[in-house]
Amino acid sequence: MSALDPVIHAEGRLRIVANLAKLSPGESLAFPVLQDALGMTAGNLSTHLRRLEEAGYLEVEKTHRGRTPVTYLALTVRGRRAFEDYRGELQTMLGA
Amino acid sequence: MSATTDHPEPALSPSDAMRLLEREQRAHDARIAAPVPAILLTWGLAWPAIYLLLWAGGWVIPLTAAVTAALAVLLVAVVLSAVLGARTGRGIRATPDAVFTGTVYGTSWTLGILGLAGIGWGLVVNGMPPELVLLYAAVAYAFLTGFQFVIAAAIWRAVPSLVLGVWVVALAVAAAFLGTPGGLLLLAVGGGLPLLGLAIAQTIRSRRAASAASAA
Repeated sequence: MSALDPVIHAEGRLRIVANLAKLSPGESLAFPVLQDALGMTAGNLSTHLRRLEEAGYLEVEKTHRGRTPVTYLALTVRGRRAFEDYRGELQTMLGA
Repeated sequence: MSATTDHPEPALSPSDAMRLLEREQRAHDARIAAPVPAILLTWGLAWPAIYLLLWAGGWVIPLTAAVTAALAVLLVAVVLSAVLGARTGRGIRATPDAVFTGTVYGTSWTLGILGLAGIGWGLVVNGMPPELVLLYAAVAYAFLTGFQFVIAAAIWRAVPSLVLGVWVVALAVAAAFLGTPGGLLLLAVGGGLPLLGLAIAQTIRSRRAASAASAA
């Protein structure tokens, strides 16, 4: 399993990346919506997001909607490519 | 993002990882499409109700009562589908291109509704007989709906919307030739049944997708 990207190959981060990869390029997802979808605590989700951001796979944008702060998340081009490579590796391993 | 420690997670086998990945993506799709069956069901019920009321107006029930009730049903359906529609894609920030497309498409409905009302008014001013006003309104708005389905199909590459749109446009033309009350009955049944069928098919599809996502 050494060929699998260790940044993605962890349950929490794989779930995050799989969800964000479904967005069209240029779209982003609000932090609470992703948290709700994954059923993770804010702290646990933040830890995984930080790891993805450090790897250059994730773009985090903090902005405001009116006076309410909102954090939007999206995969970078690099993150999208890494996810597709990861899926390809899995398919190769499983002989799909 | 608050600082927390990284929780160790059990190692994933390739097959577990693939299952998890596919489950998450199916669940994502199911969440995005969740309000669609309810929107379709709303119109699947409202459409035949509106046209059946108009069909019955003037000979089964008084015309004024039929038109008032039809407008009330229309208003409820518009509000309900707007509320449900706002839940589609909740939390997703769209690209500026997508925002522009959605805004123009939404505005085109308003433009079409006002434009057809204006044309109808102009026709009345120029001598359109009162007995044709109801038929004009019924077929014109059915045509607009069908046409907008076709436009939506072109924008969002939705084949069911294309098929339904072409069908409703054809129904509107046929209803104009049939006149009242037969044309109104044709619109009620011919437009209502496919919408209801689509709503039922979409509900079954959504439930299957949701159960597959949770079972995987």
